[in-house]
Amino acid sequence: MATEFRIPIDRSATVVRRKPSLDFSVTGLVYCSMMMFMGLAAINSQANLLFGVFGLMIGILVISGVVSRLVLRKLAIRRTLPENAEVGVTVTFVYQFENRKRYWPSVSVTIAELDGAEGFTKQPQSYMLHAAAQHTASVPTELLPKRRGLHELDRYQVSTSFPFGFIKRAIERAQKDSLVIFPPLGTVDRRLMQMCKSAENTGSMMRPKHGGMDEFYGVKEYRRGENPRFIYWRRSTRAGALVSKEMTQVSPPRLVLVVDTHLKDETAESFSDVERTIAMAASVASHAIKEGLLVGLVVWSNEWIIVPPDRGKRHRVDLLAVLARLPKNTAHPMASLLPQAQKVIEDATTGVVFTSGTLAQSLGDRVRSTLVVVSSRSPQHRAWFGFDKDIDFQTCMPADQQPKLKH
Amino acid sequence: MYNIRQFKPTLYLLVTMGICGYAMAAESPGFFIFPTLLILLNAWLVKTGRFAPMPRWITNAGTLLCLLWATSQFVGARQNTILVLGQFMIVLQLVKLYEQRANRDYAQLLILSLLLMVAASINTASLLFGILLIAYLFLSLYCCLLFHLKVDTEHARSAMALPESLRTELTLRQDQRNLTRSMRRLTVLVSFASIASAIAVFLFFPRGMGAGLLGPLQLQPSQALTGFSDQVSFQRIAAISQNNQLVAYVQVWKDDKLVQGTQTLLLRGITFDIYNGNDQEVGQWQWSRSKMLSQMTDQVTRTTPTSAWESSSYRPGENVWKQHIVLRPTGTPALFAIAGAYSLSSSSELSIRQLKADEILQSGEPLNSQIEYTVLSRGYLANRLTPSDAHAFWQRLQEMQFREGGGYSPDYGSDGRGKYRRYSQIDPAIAAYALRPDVGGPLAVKRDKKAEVTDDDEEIAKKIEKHLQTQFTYTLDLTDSKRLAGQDPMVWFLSDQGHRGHCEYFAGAMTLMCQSLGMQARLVAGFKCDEYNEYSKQYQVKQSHAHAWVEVLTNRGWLTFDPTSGRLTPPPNAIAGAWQKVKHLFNYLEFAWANNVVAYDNDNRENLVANLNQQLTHSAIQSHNLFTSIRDWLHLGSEVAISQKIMTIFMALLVLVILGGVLMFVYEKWRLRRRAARIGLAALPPSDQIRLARQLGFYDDLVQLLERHQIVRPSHLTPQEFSDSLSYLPSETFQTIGRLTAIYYRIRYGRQELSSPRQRQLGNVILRLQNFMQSDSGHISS
Repeated sequence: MATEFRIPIDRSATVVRRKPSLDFSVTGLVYCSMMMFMGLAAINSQANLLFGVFGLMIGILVISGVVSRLVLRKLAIRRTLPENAEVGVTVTFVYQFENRKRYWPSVSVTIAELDGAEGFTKQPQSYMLHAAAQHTASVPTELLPKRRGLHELDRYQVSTSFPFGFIKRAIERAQKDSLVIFPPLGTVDRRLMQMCKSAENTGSMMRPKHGGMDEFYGVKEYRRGENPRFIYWRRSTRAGALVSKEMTQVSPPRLVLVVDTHLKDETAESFSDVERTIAMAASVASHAIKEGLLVGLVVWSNEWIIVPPDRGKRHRVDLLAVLARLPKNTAHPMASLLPQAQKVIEDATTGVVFTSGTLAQSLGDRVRSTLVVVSSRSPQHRAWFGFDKDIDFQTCMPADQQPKLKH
Repeated sequence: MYNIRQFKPTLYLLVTMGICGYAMAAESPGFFIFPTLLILLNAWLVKTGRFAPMPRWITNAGTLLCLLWATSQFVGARQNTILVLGQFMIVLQLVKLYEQRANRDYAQLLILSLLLMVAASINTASLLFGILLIAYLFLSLYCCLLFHLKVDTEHARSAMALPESLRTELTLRQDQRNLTRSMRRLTVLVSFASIASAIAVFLFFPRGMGAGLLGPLQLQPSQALTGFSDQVSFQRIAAISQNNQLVAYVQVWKDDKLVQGTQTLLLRGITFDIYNGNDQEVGQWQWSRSKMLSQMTDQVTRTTPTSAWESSSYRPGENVWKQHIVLRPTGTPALFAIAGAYSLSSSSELSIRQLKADEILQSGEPLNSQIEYTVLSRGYLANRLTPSDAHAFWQRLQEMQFREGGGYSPDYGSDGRGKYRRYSQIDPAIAAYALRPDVGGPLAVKRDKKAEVTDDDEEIAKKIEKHLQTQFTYTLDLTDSKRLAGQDPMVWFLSDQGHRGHCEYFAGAMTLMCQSLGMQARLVAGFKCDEYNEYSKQYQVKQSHAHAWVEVLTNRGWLTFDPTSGRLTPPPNAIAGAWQKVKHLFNYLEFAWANNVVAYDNDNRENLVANLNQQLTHSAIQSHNLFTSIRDWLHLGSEVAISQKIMTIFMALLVLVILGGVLMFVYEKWRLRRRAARIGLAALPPSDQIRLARQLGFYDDLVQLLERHQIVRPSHLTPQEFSDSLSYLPSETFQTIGRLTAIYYRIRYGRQELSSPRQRQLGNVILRLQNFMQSDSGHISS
């Protein structure tokens, strides 16, 4: 009985094409054949005009090689990357082609990345139509990242087949660059955010502190340069010196994201769940910080990473960068994660646990704890997040963590 | 992204030019008009967006049908292979145009167009086609460049990571600053290199080897044959006269003085002395040559560029007519020349012979390629036969004109051989016509028919010539002539119903009339030309100049008579009108093209190589001689003392100059490096330092000027900040410093370059500033 044999295809790999440094194209081979035919016709018929045409074709072939070399000479290329990118969101690379030649332009040049291409859906390539002599051409190139992590770009290949496409010439250069691609960030349901904010039950959620503009907090000595509106005139007359009111500011809620990246098995589904977990955590971190919450992080990343809650754009980038570079975790399950989390989950701090499994809590634990548990396997929890439908969680981990996928 | 909009119009133009070239080569306007209309229609459909590619099955079926038709044409009708191929390629191109979908179709169109031009190149060699070919090649280069850009940009677009709908306009835009200028430069470079290579291959590629390599498949170009042939028939003359195709270019000198159109040329080609009459065995109503004419020849001689043929018939003191003739392929062995040719040399190897009886020149084989030769002629015919040979010739000719049998019975009587009838079949009516008083006159009547030559022969011939010139009408159109079937055309010509015809009628009638009177006469076919081209200094002999006249043997030798009358030819030295001049110019260009390009052969190539070799050798020898003479001069004996001193001084000066140059160079470099350090360029690479130091010299001068006025730039301030801090200076000074600082920035960071005039201008500005500051120095220092 014949058995169907299928070659497993890794559909996750980004195809990287590397061109030879000198190559004849199909057009070039056809042209050479035509040139030979022309030579033969000229010799056979002894028609002088055909000798001229034959010579012309030889000249064109020779000059093709010369011009293609000339185009790539004295062409400096600089790659400009953004600070970071996000899976599923278009990122723009800018390639600057500086033509240092005194007289000759560079036309029809393609640049293709050889390293770091696995982070994107297609091999990063850019095409420069034209850079005049002693001019610089900037070519923005839009790419779609598909894998999170730190991607090192180094070698790239500059190639051209100008002027006639007969001869393809390519040279390899290097410029080290790196790009952090964050996990996919989706929309977060307001109910989840509300849950995260209201989970703190010590009653001290709205801890007032001075320095704000909210309610009366106290008085203090007026210093030169402060807002004169807050001068407490009545008290000042009594005190004999200028005093000003001190107002409260609302202390925002504090969240600590506890991310469980433990892989129970090495099936594609498990990988996908872990990736979804990370994406969920990243989405919450991003949204929470944008809403002004203080967010911290506890996760395993070759060691225990404990980031105290903080806020601000820089902190957001830091958190997302940590989440982006999470390695495969097969040794540190939830049981070892929670004790680490307890070190940062203090009073007035809500812990949000992201896991691909379940967290069994007793009733007492649920009453006492401030943990919010979000499971990537739970359809209800999944519904809280809105990710782009084109994002494939089976392929958005770093390439070295990619399991083999089959059709 | 760059929209290669010029590509399609260029491609359409290219295809049209290819078809035009082919139509030119095939000399058929139909090949141009119909396909061009289809191309224009296609272009309109594409432009207006109405175009839809033909379904594949239709194009395939059409191609197949066309292939079958081409095969049938080639196999069945045996048409010219190249013509059939060309027609096939035209149809293919039209099919491709109406089927165009992808870049592959455009590439195929380009290839087909090029092949069509190649086929046309094999088939024609005209100047117009050559000009079109050159323009076509330039355009095809440009079209190929555009095509490549189009393919590359489309490929780049398809390789983009994002789908079409998600791409932003920003990434599709490309830098097109100076793109036109760049493309122009590159096109010039590519064109120059290609043309240089084409010329090099054209000039130096060996000719001759490998010709006919493909044997039966060889695509021979069609021969450009004239209408001249070994046989003269009356109908063919009319066709030749209406054809203006060039046959030859002739330069004439009379006694080393160039003849500039003041003489009418009569170039003898071939002679005929036998009229076949009604004899259908040998050809009815045709002139031919007796065997004796062809038998009495000189030995065949092979002329080369270094050895000429010469006969001994020239006598010193006679006029020398030198003709340099470029003769196009005629398909006959006739070598044309003025009467009395006694020497011939050619630019290539040629076997020739001269026939003694009529002094015509012939080559060993029919001429199927262009040749160039120089002939020396006396201008008149000498009787090269000895008296005994001439008598024997005349006797044999008389005998040949008779043979046993019935037919006419001329009044020759019997000499023991029986009754004879004229072989040449001269109709008695012609003989009777010649004896008329207004034709031959009484001299003709009393002439002894058995006499070889009489004193009255010349007079008789003149009378006949004059009669024909005055009483007969020249015409080419004999379609309305009512000639009875089987009637001798010569009889008809002389009858009352005739009295009109072209030159062969005139010449034939006069020859027969002379022969009927017993005179030796022959019909000569050749060219009569008076069209002179002042640009090329040559006579342009065309097919329409083909002519026939008569030579009659008199006591003064063979004399030339031209009985043709009424031909409307302009006087030889008529001033050409403007249009005629343009035509002459074009003919000259055509001649130059044909001679230098089309007819370029192995001999030309070897000559060129030899010339180059000679020039290089000559240059080398000259250089060597110069060097030797200098060396000898240095080694001279008695002038050693003086020349040694001079040499010493000279050498010393030379050494000083060189040393000075080196020192200058080193000093200059040091100076520029110092200036670079002062300006703040020390961190740059040395080459940039030197370059910028040269450019920013004016700023260094400015800074030094300010320092002289105790205004020193602190090191922590940038030039702009320093300039802004000088606001306490007079406004003019402050503004000038500000402007100079702006220029500094443009050069330093903006990569601008100062031209020499601009540098001088800035120098003047600083000088003026210096003067102003000196005059205002009290205010500044406070």
